Amino acid sequence: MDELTALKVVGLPLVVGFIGWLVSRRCGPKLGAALAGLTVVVSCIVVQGTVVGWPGFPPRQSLHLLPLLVGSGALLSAVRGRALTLALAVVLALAPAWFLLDRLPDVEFSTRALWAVATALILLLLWTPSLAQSTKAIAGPGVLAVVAGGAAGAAVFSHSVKLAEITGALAVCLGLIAILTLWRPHEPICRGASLAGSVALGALLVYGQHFLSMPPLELSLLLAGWATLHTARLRPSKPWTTGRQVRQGLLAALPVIAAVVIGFLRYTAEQQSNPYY
Amino acid sequence: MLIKALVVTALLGASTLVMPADEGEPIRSGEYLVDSGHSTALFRVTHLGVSAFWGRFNQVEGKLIYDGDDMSKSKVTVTIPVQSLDSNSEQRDGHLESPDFFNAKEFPEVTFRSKSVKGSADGSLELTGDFTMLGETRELVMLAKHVGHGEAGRFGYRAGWEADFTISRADFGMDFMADMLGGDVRIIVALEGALQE
Repeated sequence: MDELTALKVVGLPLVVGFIGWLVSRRCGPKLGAALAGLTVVVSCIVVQGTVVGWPGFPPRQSLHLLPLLVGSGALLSAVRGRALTLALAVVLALAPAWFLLDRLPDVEFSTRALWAVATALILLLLWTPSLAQSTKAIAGPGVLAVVAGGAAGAAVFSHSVKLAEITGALAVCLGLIAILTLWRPHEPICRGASLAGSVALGALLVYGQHFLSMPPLELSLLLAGWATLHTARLRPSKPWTTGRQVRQGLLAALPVIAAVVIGFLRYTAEQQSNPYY
Repeated sequence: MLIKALVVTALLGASTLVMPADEGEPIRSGEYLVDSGHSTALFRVTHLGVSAFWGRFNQVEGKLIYDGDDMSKSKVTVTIPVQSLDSNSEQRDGHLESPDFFNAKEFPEVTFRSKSVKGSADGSLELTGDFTMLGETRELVMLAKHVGHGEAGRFGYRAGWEADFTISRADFGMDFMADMLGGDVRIIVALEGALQE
């Protein structure tokens, strides 16, 4: 990755994220949540467009499906009503595996359906803390940023710089929101960013699973890091102080760091015969 | 001296059993199945603008229908499995097979299917056909030079051609690392076909 690309992958989400955060803060809670969600997905899509290339429509390859799958996260942060939110979450959890596996040759309908259902169940389980309407949403952006950052590393070690750049952009935007939340907590923004970020991260990990050689162990560790968000449900009355938010992020970081280290060791072992870089 | 003479005679005799010697004869018409073990596909791309890097695909599959009496009935189909890619580095192979380049899981093959074949007196073929890579198809015209043909003993009747052509990888949606790797990719495909009786 050259310096200009690195600047785009980090700089664009920071700019988009900061502007989105400022605007969201001035709005009411529901609009603020929706705008925060939109900010997260826009930062991903803008990086994909400027760094990886703008996809055509209709999508001609699986990578071109990602903006649609990632972008649909904004819907989840904007929709109102518990029943509608849950129904949309089910659809969005089924979507990545369903549409991405359609791009693979020789995948039978039954196999695709099984993968879609199994993936949806896992994603819905991971999304539960973000879907729940409570202050635990404060913890969401930080944990998701850690997992997305680890996923970007895992993507590099699984030989896809493109996926790493898109996932890295997601990590940067969510990380910025998490840091700004430490300074000025705003639960609706965190909720909107968490919901959109969850959908986006889910789509990117499903892509990594099926289109890269991302090892199951590394993927499982990333999901374990994501699952630590469930511990935010413990002690629901305890306030979300800076310390508590940081501890929540560090808890997620433990399995994520393990995933990154394992991926790095595997990558360097490959490099020992005829180094590529 | 006698042993030396016997050895030379034996070698000459053995070579006549496998050396095709049909230069004066026309190429036999029929269906030729590509012998992957004796066919080669190479690619060349410039690196950092300073060097030429060559890689290969270890598997080449296909079929060539050759009709010497009516070349319009001739047809060439070549399929190269992307996962047979070999760039002398396991790590680089992984990167080339990833969505950054060939996206092998989604597009497992690179193919060429001829739409028209024109022959020439020396057996070379001018091929016009569809070259498909990364799900994108572009029409290409290439000259497949005839290398030789003939009975090859236990290998049966064989004929070989070699095509050398260049594509722009961006035309097929492969534009990653444009600052480090050249846009034009030279491809050499050398086929040995075994006539099917």
